[in-house]
Amino acid sequence: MNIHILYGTESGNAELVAEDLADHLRGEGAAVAVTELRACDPSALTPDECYVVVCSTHGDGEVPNSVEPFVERFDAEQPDLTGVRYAVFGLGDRFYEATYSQGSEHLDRRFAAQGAVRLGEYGRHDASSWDLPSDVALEWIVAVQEAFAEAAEPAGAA
Amino acid sequence: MNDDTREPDAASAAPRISIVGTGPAGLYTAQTLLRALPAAELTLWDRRPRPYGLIHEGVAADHPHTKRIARQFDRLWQSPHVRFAGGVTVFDGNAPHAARIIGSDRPSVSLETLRHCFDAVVLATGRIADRALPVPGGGHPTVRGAGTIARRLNGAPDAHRPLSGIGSDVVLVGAGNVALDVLRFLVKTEDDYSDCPVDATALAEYTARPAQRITVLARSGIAAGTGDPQMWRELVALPRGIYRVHEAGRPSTGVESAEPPAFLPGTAPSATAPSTPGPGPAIPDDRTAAARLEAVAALTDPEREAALPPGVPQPQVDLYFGAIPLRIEPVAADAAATEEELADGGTGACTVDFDWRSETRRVCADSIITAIGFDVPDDDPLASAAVAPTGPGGSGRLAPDLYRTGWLKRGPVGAIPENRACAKSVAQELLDALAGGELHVDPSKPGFAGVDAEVRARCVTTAR
Repeated sequence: MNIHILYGTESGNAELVAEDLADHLRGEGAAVAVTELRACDPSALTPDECYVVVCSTHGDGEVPNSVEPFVERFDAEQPDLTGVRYAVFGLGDRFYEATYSQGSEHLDRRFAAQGAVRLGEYGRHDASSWDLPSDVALEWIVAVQEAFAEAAEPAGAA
Repeated sequence: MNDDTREPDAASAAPRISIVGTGPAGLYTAQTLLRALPAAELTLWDRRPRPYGLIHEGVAADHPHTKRIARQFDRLWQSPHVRFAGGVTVFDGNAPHAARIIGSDRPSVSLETLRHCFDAVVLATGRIADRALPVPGGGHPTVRGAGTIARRLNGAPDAHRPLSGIGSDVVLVGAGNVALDVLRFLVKTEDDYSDCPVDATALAEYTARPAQRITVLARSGIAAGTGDPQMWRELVALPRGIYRVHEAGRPSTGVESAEPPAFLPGTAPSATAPSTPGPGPAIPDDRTAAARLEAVAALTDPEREAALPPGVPQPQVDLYFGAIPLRIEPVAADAAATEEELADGGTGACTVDFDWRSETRRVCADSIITAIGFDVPDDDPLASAAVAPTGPGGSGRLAPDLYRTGWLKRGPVGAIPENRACAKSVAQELLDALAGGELHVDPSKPGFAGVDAEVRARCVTTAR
């Protein structure tokens, strides 16, 4: 299975989660690429890869500054994401009640609007909890892996 | 340590790099270098016996969630390629005051020694001295910097000045995030810290005689301020304080051009004119400015005041926007008040004159707290590396084997994310120099072993 982790980080937490997820998935035999959203081309998103989007929240429930170029390109290109499968893990902080964990939602809405399908539960980490982000993400990814595997079978496509 | 990486005959010898300062900038530098050079040996120096710098000392005691970014660095200390060397002062051996540092009892090592022993050195020592208020009387003993308060509340080792004597009439200069941290501290009671690790003794020093009247002097208008809207909203939601807002005289538009404060990169703190044009404060995007205006307006919502808990004394907070401090004068009877006298809760009364709407206003104060930025004092051990901060762009390279990053490089602007980006970019400059041959790995250099034996023995470290 080709898994492509896309991350958007402000203080490094989402990057660390992305790397820990990658290590785990590679350990299970998957081919894994990791790309910062800043460097990702929205029109290159393809049904041949399963995407794991890991994104923090910044400021007023916004995406991190480093993700804004991706969002702008996405809105300009409006890529057709029919057949694209993705999972989302959002980082947030309940200290900011009004805008908790909304950063990743900006991406989720756009992907869905362009025809991509989200698999697995929407993962979330709360910075005000005592859990480490990677620990929560590694628990969450298990069901996502299963969902990716199921989605790959019916059409017979790898 | 992995001895294989020390093989002097190895075809590709492992670089040995010293990083001075283990706040966010230094730690992100270490993270980036280690990812790119997995065999590198990093020695991380800090004048404190414990790492993390402002993460623990500068972040407000009532924002413990922000401090948790330190946990991503736990892994660094577990790496056999990383050594922490704490409780050591790194100093410029050519500085006029170097002799005083060498002669003191604290372990110290010169920058020259580090450059001799290591392939490269990255300086990430920040800017933590509160900038002085550049007005007549700005040095009066009753003036204290926001940084000193944060350190005292966070239990930092050299935060000696007690928080008593702050109340009951306080003038707070500044309205950025650091000032808002102070304002929260001034209006909060002990109960508001129940979930926060805080130095209880220090907090009690203040709450024994808390502020009753707080005057905030913000140089810019509301929209053009630098405080995060989220920080203002936090004050709105906190059931403490009765607020009055005094807006700047000029019409408050979404984008205001305030004169860049003199201390920003590219301008000299005490010059009357900028030495070189600086980038100035970022022009706020309309959305942030609008959110800020909305949040500040909510402070004076009558419903907020009506909802304050009855029977609890509430400090009165007057927020003046477009206010420029002019002078501080002691009230004659207290002209000789010293810091020691004031720490005991003496009134040390001053008057603070400020310009607002082209008029001079005067307010009385028991203490003045400044939150107007940070800098590096002239007698800092590494003052020479702090000269000419670059602002957000620009190179961190001082020599092929010497770099500066974080606030030391840019000036005291930007929070953790900006320091992360800066650390990565300067680390990349170092990596480029290695790749391009301007920086060589010299296996014959002694590394940490070349540092004075007493310093090595006395430093706080996880590895020997």
